Amino acid sequence: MSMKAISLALLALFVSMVFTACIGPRGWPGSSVAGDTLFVGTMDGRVLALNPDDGSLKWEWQPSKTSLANPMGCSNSLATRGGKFYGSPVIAQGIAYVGTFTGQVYAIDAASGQEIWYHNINSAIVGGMTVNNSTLLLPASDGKLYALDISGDYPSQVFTFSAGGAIWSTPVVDEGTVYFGSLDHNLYAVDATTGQTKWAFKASGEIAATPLVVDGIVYVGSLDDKLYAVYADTGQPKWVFEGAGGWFWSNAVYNNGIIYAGSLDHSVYSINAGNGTPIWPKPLRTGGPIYASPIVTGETLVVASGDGIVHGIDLITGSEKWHVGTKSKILASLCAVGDTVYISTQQSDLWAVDARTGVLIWRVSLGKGEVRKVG
Amino acid sequence: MFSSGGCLLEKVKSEKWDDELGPEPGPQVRRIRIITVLTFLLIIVLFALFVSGVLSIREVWNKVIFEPLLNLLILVSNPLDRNLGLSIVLVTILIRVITLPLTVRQLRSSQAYQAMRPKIEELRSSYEKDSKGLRREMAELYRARGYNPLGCLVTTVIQFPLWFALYWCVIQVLTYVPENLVGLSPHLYSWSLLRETLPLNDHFLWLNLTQASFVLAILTFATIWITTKMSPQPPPEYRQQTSNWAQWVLPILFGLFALILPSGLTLYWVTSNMIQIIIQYRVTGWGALKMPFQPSGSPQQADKTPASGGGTAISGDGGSKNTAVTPENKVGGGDSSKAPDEPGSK
Repeated sequence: MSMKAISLALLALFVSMVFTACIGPRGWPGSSVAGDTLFVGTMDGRVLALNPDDGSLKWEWQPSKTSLANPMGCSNSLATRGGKFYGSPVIAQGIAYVGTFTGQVYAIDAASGQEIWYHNINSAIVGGMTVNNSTLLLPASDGKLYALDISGDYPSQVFTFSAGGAIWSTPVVDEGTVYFGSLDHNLYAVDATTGQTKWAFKASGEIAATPLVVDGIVYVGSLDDKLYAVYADTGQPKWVFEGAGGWFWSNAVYNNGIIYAGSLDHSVYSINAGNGTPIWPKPLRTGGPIYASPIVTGETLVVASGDGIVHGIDLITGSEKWHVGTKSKILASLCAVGDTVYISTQQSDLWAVDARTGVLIWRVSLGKGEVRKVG
Repeated sequence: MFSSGGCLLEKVKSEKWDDELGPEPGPQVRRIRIITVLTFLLIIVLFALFVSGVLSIREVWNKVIFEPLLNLLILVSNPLDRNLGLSIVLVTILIRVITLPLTVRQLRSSQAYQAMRPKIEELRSSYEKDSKGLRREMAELYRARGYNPLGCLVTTVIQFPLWFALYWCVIQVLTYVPENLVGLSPHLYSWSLLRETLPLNDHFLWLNLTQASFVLAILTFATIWITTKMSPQPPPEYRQQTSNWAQWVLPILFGLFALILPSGLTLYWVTSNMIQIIIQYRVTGWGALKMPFQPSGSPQQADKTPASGGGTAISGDGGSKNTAVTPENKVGGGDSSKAPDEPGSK
């Protein structure tokens, strides 16, 4: 082999290594249910309306407007087409709202799948959106929380709140206050109509999780391995749970005085909501980090771990009742209606599982151009 | 990082050069042979452990190289107001300082190879139809000159993972893509300081490190072009045989990459290349790079390519003069007044 051939081979190797940097955003679209329709985002940037009973397709939407795509998908400025979802569709007043990583918000008629309007905020949307009356609350990576009036034909700005870092947590509204975390380490409480700051609680790590507000207490996990309980009216800490060995990436859930939270240390913790002490003798250990927000249905806590296993856990004892293997990473929040849990995987599959037994009800592949029933 | 130029052989210094067969290999030659053998033994042992499943390649890579560097990058940024750009520059400098002996060895090796080229070409033409004889003579030449063909490979093998790991660290801490931030978690040490430091400030000077920068693309092109031009050159009569493609392909290619890659990565390239330029200048001089502000034929301008076995010394402006090779004309400087190990004078 000549020197030139060796040089070319080495160059090719080097170039391929360079382009390992070009792993652009892939997204982790979730699902949500409104009425008799299951709305689900897909990995390739579409929104599907499915029948929750059997997974059959009602309609399919894809963005009318796409931003200029960079085929290499490398840097922030040029990466990705319009349509990588990190949140679940939000449904309000017959309209489904979705936000993309390229900074576009779309309003889609929930009944027909027709696009109603399109709005660009020019900043990546990673957290989920929330509708409060006629205001759409939109967290963005530029550190701003956009409040848009969606009562008219086209959205208009109500207020914009600026945090010190990207907002990747979904805002939660409770009694006129919006609560959300930011990567600037703060948990913010902001007036839902004016955008005025009520208080900010500083954690020692970034907050990417969605806060949980129950009985005047805000519970939120942080990337400092801690879970905080903060008084909703003052922002003063009530207790701090420091028993985890990894980040709290997903939001916690509440049931009957107990907070359940999954951590990237592969464990699920049950914590007394009153004093922050562990309930289970030891946390439930799973086979992978817990990225997806868990969900409580009936007597079962459903948790998806990063290794693609979905666990049904007894709320009282913390023992596993059942598990289902999806063979794919699960990052998107789980969604449940009645006893059925809907799980979106990174392989573009949607699973409907009976939360009581772990039996698979149906499974569809959401690949481009079709909704194909699997199994 | 992008130095090029025929790095195939390892020259062990300090032997006096002989136009024909040189002195017997000295203790340094033996040392480099021992290091080479030990390195290969280590590689074989590691390979056996990987194959047997005792060790995972990914685990070793993560624990030994990637994670220490990643945590260092974040840690260094803490007192710098979490500035990722400054951290990238400082850690790159640190890595280049740590690998400096290897870089210098590689450059000298490359330089020495270029100096040997006339003799090698001579042997190749003499033994055109006798490959066995050619191999024997080449081996004898290497032995006589104290070269180890694998020596340079070892230095590259050691340096490359470090550079690549740093490259990956920069990608990982540019957390504009949520997947990157999530991916950081398993690699962070459990020090609370690291968690408090995140996220890093991705603005440096006028740059948003998550976005491509035209200025850095130009700098990437320029610095790679300069390092390529400064690489040790073969004697003039052999330059015709050296294709010029590499002198343009690499800078253009990486300049284009820099137009689409986040500037955090290209900042690392540019910093690394600038350090490479300084090192190359100190070790091998300006090479084929013509410096307009220096008078032709000045000592500073002189290419430090050693006198070759064929008795040729090269002047910095590309011209040549025939010089009888004497033991004083050693690898490490065309300036015969310098000791072989002494860096080139400014």
